[in-house]
Amino acid sequence: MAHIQPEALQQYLAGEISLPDAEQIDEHLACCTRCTDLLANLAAEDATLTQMLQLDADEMSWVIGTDLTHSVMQSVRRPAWNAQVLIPTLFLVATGSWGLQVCVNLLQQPFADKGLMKMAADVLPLAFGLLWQVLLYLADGGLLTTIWPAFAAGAIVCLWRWKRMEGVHHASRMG
Amino acid sequence: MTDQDAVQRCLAGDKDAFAEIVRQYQAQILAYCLRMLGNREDAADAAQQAFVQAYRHLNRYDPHQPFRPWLYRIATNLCIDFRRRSGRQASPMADEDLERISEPTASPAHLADLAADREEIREAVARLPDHFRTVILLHYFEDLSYQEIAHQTKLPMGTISTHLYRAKQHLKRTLTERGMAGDGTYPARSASAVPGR
Repeated sequence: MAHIQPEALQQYLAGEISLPDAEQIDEHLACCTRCTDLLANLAAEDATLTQMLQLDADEMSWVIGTDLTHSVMQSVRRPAWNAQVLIPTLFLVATGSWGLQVCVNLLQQPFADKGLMKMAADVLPLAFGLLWQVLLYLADGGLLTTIWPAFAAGAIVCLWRWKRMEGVHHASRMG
Repeated sequence: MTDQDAVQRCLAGDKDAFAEIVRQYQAQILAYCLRMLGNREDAADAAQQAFVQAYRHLNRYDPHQPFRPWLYRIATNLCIDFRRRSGRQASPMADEDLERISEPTASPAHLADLAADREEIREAVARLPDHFRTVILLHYFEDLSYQEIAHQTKLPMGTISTHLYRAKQHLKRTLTERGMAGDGTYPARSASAVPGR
């Protein structure tokens, strides 16, 4: 007598088999102890696996008590980096930083020739600027939305300064 | 609101609609990742990343298909990546977890047996190759039908059946080597105590 393949019995057990195939297996099982025993073993294995893999009480309370909504939504709201955004951003950051530095130096010109004061005038604005951007980033979760306006303003100052210097050079050449 | 509605709203720019999806599926995905990875920290990371990836790739989701298998596919791939990156097998259950098995009617001896069996089986499942472990967990833990597993893993139904059977054979071999499975079923002491599905 040809016995039923174990894979087919496994499918039969899970109810994942067509009706005609299931009827054929029923007929065979009615007169074959070997396949009946195999089916019983498969059923016991299934039951054991199902029971053993269930979450126990402690795991269940962890799963129910864990809320991912906030962390997921924070990540979702943070804009994803991509090259199209990154390149203009880097350009703005570079020119903007320079522009902001020029602004601060202009404001602190009266103190600039006094040693330590000069160094602080160079370093502190940049450090504060960076710290401010990090704080904005942490608070808002959107790097681009917060720093673009600041660096755009810096870039405008930078361009204005460059134009002005060009004007001075032109005047000195003429003079 | 159906999953499809929520997805449509997300695609239209309403990010808050995605929070509904997270709330609805987080427990299932967390539990699945916990079984796939074996520890809570990695499971929480993987589940979070699964949702973030799902959001970022929502435009690739086919709204004519159910959302849940698509989300599970992302979680499965992430868990497999996690395990490969960490270069380790999922850790077995902690001792304190094993002692918290809630069967008030069982005797202490039976509880100890059950805890030991559970540890052995979970460890054996954790050591299965990825494709076997995935089908075992989807079928016996998530209670997905063969068709749902086939849809999720993009494998034919026949392959799912074969994978399941071979995975069980693999488990049986592992447990026999550890002196656990004797007469064809896994733990001889537990199988008789477990009611049928």
